[in-house]
Amino acid sequence: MERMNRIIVVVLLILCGLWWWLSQGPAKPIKPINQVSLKNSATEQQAEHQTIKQKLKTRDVQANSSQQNIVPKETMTDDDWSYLAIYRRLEWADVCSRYHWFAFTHKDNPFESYLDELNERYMNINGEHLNAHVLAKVTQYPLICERLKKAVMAYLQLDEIDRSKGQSVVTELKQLLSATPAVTEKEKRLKAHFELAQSFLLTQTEFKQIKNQTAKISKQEHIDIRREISALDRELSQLDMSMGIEAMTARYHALVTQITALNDQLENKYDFENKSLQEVQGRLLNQWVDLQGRLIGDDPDVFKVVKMASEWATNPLYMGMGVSGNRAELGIPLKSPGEQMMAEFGIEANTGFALAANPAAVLYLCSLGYDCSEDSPLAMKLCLQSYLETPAACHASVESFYLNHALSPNLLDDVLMIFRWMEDNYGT
Amino acid sequence: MAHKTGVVLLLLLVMIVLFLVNEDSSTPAVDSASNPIANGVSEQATAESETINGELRSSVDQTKKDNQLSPAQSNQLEKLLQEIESPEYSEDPYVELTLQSMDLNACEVYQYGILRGIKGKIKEQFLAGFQTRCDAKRKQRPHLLLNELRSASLKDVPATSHWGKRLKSMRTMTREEKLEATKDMMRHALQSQQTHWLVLSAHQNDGYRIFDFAEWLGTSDSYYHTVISYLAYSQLICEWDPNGLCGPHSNLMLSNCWYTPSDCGMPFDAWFEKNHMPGIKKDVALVVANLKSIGEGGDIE
Repeated sequence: MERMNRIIVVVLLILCGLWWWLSQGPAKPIKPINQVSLKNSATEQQAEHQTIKQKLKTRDVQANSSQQNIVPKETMTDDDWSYLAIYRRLEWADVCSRYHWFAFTHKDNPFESYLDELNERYMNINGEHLNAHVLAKVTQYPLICERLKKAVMAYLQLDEIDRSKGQSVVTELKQLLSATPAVTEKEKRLKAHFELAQSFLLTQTEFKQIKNQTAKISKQEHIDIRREISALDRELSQLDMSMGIEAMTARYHALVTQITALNDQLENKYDFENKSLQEVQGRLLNQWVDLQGRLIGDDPDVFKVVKMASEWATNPLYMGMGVSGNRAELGIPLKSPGEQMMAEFGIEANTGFALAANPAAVLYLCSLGYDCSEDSPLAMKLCLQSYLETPAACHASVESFYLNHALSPNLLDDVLMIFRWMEDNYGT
Repeated sequence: MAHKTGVVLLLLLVMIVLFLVNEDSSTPAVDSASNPIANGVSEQATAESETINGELRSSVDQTKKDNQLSPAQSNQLEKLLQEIESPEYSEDPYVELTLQSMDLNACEVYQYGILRGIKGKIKEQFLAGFQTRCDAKRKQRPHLLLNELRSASLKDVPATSHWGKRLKSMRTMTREEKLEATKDMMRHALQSQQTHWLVLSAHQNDGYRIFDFAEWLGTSDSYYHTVISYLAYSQLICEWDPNGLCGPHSNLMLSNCWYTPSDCGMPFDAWFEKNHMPGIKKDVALVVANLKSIGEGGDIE
């Protein structure tokens, strides 16, 4: 028995020694929690998402085949100046506005300077040069934009499109579009909606102008109030204890109260009771309601025009959920389509919701047959916007980028849920 | 027999104690709490208490000498230290004053800026509670308030704990050095479950670069990393310190209040549950799980 006890002690000591020795080593690597293990969506929902993904991927493969809305790139230099062809040029002009501005501000060798700048930015973030895929894509960009500008100038017989005189390729094409008749049914539909959206934009501008006219304080008064706030702010930062804690605290409260009152004066300077302002506000509201009612349909161009206008979005990649501070101050009791969708999901936090709503809207647009191929203007926009962090954006179709590269697998579930909602609510 | 079994048990006990001692010494924290679950502020403060009044006094005197403080500056330093005689977060004066400054700054920014703009949309009760808290803080710490209004730094305040000294040294670091220091600080926060260190680490610039969120989440979108990591840190803050740094009028709750005015005052968990899609919730859960693994000593970076 005694011997047995000794053996037990020795074995336990060895075991403890081993345990101790093992604990001295580096911490055992634990694999990151598997994303799949945390997924608890209903099987049914996952199956539905798989179907959507499959559908989008299949469309991706078939892209550029027989779709009426897609105009091959070469039409930008050919003789087709129909309404639809001009509209396609306008879409490229929107993507090119960044380069056209760069070329205006870097007149000496803009092409190389632009590429150098992109490369430098990439280098600063990633510590290496742009890879061949990205370089090939971004090299195309200034070339396409230069070609577009030349084609527009030649067609309009202009010697120059002078930015310093307020001209741009976009404005020239918009004017041309407005003067060009729509011939086919598709063109007529697009023209009608494009003009509605343009008119809505004009009303927004008119609203802002009239609002400024209703200001209860003049420009000079505004400047004076700003100066007064700065002086009070300065005094606030120079307070000291020499006057005693109580006097200092009292002065602090007095200064803060004065600053707050002045800020209130600046923020509430518009007269929203003004009749002209109310008239234009009513018009704006009616146009907005009208546009939102036109989201249902299967024409991708119409959807894009109407959805962007309804969200007050200027970038198609953010047309899922427009988050606009300007819109909030209009006092218009209407939500954008993205906000309405968010409300249906019971959510109020718009920035988080937009993370899924924006890709969902773009994928929905692609599913309608919009040109989302690797060579499309939308893919170029995505490449220029995402190349720093996700270079895959420069050698993928829009669908492939979102489905395979850009989104976390879990966020993709949200995207597909919203996509499904859009299919149910906007599909015909 | 009983005696021999006792010896065996004693030996085992010695082994276990040695093992635990060894385990403790492998963590970098020198001010970690003996109770890893720091529920109350006083526990956290005690945990960092590696200083005593005498030591603090000598640190203060040394700082005055090293930084050649003028009588007015010395006086200001003494007043600041008096205002944190009963610390809320930490006994290290630099850490305590940094956190109190953040609170006072939030009071200025929210009360006279952001919240003023959405005043009509939020509950009066919430606003009144927040104002009371801010007024109390201003009254308790008038010198710190002045410091904050002047945007003056706390460089003359001595740091007395290991992590306090590291925090203070970050002021002069390069971006990459600061990122490394933030990573260490975050690991310390996760291992010790000290909420204020989590707040201080997450508050540093590049907080979204602390861990390999691209690998964890399966996307290289840094904006997404920022959103998810913020939510994950917030969830841990609220789990560890529901009545303090996640209390009803905490900075975290204020920021949610501004973000979703009609949900102002809603407890974090309910707010998070209501306002996020299932996929985002899963990504936050994934990051929280990984952060907890790191806290438990896992090497998943």
